[in-house]
Amino acid sequence: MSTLAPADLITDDWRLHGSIYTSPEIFALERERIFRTSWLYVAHESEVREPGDYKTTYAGTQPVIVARGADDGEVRVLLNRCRHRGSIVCHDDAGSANYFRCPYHGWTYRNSGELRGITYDDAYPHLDRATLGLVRLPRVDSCAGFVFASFAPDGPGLDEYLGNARRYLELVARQGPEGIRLSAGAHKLRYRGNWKLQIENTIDNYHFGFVHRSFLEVLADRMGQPPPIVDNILHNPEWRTIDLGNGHSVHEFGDPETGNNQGQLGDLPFNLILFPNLCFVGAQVRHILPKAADRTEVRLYPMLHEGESEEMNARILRAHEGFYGPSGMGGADDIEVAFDRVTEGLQAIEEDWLQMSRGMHREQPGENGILIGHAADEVPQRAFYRRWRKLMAEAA
Amino acid sequence: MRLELSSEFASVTVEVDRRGNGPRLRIENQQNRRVVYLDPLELASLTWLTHEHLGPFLDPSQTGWRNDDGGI
Repeated sequence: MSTLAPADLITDDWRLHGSIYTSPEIFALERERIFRTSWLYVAHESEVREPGDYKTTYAGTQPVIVARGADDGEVRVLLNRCRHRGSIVCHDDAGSANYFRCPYHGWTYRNSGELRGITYDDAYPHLDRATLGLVRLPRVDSCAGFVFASFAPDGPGLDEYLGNARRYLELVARQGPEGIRLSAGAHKLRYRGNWKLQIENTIDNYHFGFVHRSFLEVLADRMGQPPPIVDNILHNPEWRTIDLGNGHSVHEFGDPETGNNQGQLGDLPFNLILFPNLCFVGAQVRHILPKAADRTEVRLYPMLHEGESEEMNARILRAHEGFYGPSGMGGADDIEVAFDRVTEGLQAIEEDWLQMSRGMHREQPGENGILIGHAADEVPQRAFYRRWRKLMAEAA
Repeated sequence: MRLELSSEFASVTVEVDRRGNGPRLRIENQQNRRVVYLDPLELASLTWLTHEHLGPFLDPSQTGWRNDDGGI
């Protein structure tokens, strides 16, 4: 691995060292310095609507249960790990249960976390049960229905953490007449590559005309002319990338309330990245789950519109599937090129630097400390890595 | 009518039993075949419960569960 200190893995002229994507040591440091300090997305409130509802997911790299209290209705985030011998306690993606029971030896817990009972407990005359509940994450908060949690007991609150990105999150939540819901569930994909490749690719307009050429050709065939998306990416001044600060970034397809990507990718008028691992693209919430330096799982949750007709929501799902679905015309190309081929190429380490400087000379400052760039510039990637470098360079 | 309710933690069937002079709710644990019958007054009383009140029944060492083979 590289012997460079974390702060030196990104240079002032925006070269990134390849070990950022390949090193198990860097990944171990990310677990500590990125994922134990940041606010982490865990759920949308529509997924745990009723008392007793729960879902299983990950807070960064750690498995958690998001549960709405049976009696008090409070949403809690609990580590999904039995305090006895470490099995996950809840296995299903979602369910409704006021008590959980570990499948290994039958220990039971309230869905607020407290240890309720132990099978054949005469073998434990001195166990302090009060200290053996499922571990709660110390801070849970929500913004516009999106639930976040943090392993850090202290630090900036969620509002301050989201900063300039909050406005966009609120726009996401207002897509339907009565909001949104994630009731369609998720489809999951896994790849053998680093988690940050998916973050970068999510808001990389530069690749669209290359990786998704076959999709564009299908569209051109249907429409009788080339679709305007690539022309907009290259030449439309209203399409712009913005560093929102704190690692967050957005790509606007024109006005963030009324714009349209004109690419049949879903209706959201912008792509949004919330540091470190939550994205909004097309019609989906994209939750990126790092597993190892070279293993990633991605969960894509189509957002259905609350208060809309079933036909409208069916159209949202079909558009989502058409590009991002397992047999869609776009997602598989990203996996092949942006993840698999990049990961393969990164094995060539004799010259181990990448270029992330596209458009840095034409970044323009905006209000509230934001930086604005062209649509195909690497402004969002630099926004992410500015924050990444700051956190990774801080003393543990 | 027989209803089945399952989660990743348990599976039960529920039906109204009319063999006696009045109706009762019959609940059968599908994992150990244990059965309980609850009459309307008992069921009405259950509506006073919080889920926390049921806690002692969810402690496998404090209820009949400890005598079941397999501990379920």
